[in-house]
Amino acid sequence: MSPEGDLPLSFLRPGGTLLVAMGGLILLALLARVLLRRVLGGERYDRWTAWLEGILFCLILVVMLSLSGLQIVLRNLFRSGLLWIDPLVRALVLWLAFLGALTATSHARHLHIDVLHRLLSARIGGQVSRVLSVLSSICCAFLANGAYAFLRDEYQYGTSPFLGIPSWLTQSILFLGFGLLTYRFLVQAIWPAPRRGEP
Amino acid sequence: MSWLVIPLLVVLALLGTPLFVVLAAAALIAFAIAGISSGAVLTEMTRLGTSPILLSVPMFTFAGYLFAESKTPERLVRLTRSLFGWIPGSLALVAMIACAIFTAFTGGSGVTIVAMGGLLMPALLKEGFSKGYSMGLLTTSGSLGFLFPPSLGMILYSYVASQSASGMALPPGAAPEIDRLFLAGLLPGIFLIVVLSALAFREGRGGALMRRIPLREGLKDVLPSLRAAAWEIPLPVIILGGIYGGKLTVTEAATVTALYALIVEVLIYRDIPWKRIPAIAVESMTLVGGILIILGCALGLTNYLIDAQIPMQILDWTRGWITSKFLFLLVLNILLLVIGSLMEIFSAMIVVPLIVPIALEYDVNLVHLGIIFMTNLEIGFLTPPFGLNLFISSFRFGRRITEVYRAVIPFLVVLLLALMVITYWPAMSLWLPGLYGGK
Repeated sequence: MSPEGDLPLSFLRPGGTLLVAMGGLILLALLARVLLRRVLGGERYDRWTAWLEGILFCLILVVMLSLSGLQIVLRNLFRSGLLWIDPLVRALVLWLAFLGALTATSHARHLHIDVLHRLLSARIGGQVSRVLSVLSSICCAFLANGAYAFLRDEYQYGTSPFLGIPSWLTQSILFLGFGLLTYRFLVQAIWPAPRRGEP
Repeated sequence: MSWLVIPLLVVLALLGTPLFVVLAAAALIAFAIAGISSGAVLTEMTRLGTSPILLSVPMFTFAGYLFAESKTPERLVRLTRSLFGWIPGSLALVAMIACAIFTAFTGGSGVTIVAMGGLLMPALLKEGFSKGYSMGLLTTSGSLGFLFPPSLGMILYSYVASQSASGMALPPGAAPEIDRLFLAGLLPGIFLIVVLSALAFREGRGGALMRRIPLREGLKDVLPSLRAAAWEIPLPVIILGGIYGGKLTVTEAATVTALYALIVEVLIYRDIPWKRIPAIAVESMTLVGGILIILGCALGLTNYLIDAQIPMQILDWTRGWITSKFLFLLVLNILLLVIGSLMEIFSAMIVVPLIVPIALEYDVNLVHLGIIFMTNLEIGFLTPPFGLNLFISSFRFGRRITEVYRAVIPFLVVLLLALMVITYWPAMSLWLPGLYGGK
């Protein structure tokens, strides 16, 4: 009867079972992090994740630069262009936004107002930061939940604007991103990164 | 009950909660109270992945970080010195121009103070400028580039203001298009530099003013320093020529800048080894992520605000006591200065949707509004006690924050006077875009 029967993972309902499942996954991820750090050693774990981040950002930047560079050449020299390049590159901006927000979280470099924080002592300030990280994590969980509801609609009624890639797939970073942000803010609450004062 | 939420969120923001979280929480709560699914917040966020102009944010930022890591600052200073070194007290002017160019390319003023400060501070001191003056100058110069193309702040203002003015009837020439804004910023930007130079003359009356490079010696270095920077000089010409010659959109210009920076700094000058690039990519994209996620959440909140007709309510409320355009502009300036002193340039964009409808009501041109907006943020960054540049300077130069406060006061006074001129003399901003075409 209900059209939701066609959805993959339709038993996960936003607001209910989804949040429970996410909580479970995040607990597992936290456990995996502890185990990995023990096996690899904290220093090597940090180096490898930094390396992975670097490669990922470079890949996206290379794709963006070469595709939009190609488009400029095609447009100005041959008065033509590939229709799928622009929407693809724009979609990559969305992905870049979330991946950047993720690294900003683990390096404690999100844009914030630093007025009251400067007045607190290091110890109390650290405790306040932990509490704020927990609150941020909760907020991101709600956003992930909203993203899931949005993606379900998009899956049913969305279009595929380019290359036959359905819109929900390019937009899935909304859910993945906020899900991972939920996890990373929790990591910050438990093992805070030193807060760098300035950009 | 719902009104309790606002002060709570403000306290959380002031305590240092990431701003995107504060904005998102506000949007989530507002939509929940209105009984609308939280998916609405996310719907707006997808616009980050469909807007053409936003590609310029990662591109310009990446380019800016590449320039910051290379020896571009040195070459820039050397060239400007050979050209202007004969003017008494010219190193101050050199510092301002080099910083303005640099800020325009990197967007964030923090990067400028960190990248240029280490180079210029010892040079200024050696030249005989006082410690306080030099620190004040560099703190101020950190945001001088906001008004020059390709200022990221202006690009974002153009985007947000167009979104919030969509559907409203704009008078001819008032649409906040980015190429117009770039033109509009030129004269006010140059004006600020000229006015600040007056301070340099006052400061330099004693010893520093007398110390200067003889004209002939300076000219001897023009050619070599031009040759040293031969690959960097064409860039602004390509960018601006491309945009105004109709060959490139602003977004394409951003891509060209990033490609150009990559080729020149890595392949030609070899200032940056290949191995450094992943680190630069992470560093710059972390900033980009921070900016764009705020923008995304702000779009979600804006959607609610416009739905609930909040700007109209503020407008009704202000109508009672703001009786003239003159008074409106004054109140606007004070408000924006406070915002500029609390937030950095990208977060400050969240107030644009609130201001735009009110500004239109008082017959303020949106291009002029953009220039007022940028100038205010520029000054707000220097406003004690919380202006961002003050903290970066204190951090970079290892001075106490109170020392920095004292150092910037003369600059603040001059800039506030200049702000009045820019605000109440719209022609300074609107003359150039008017020439470009009265669409």
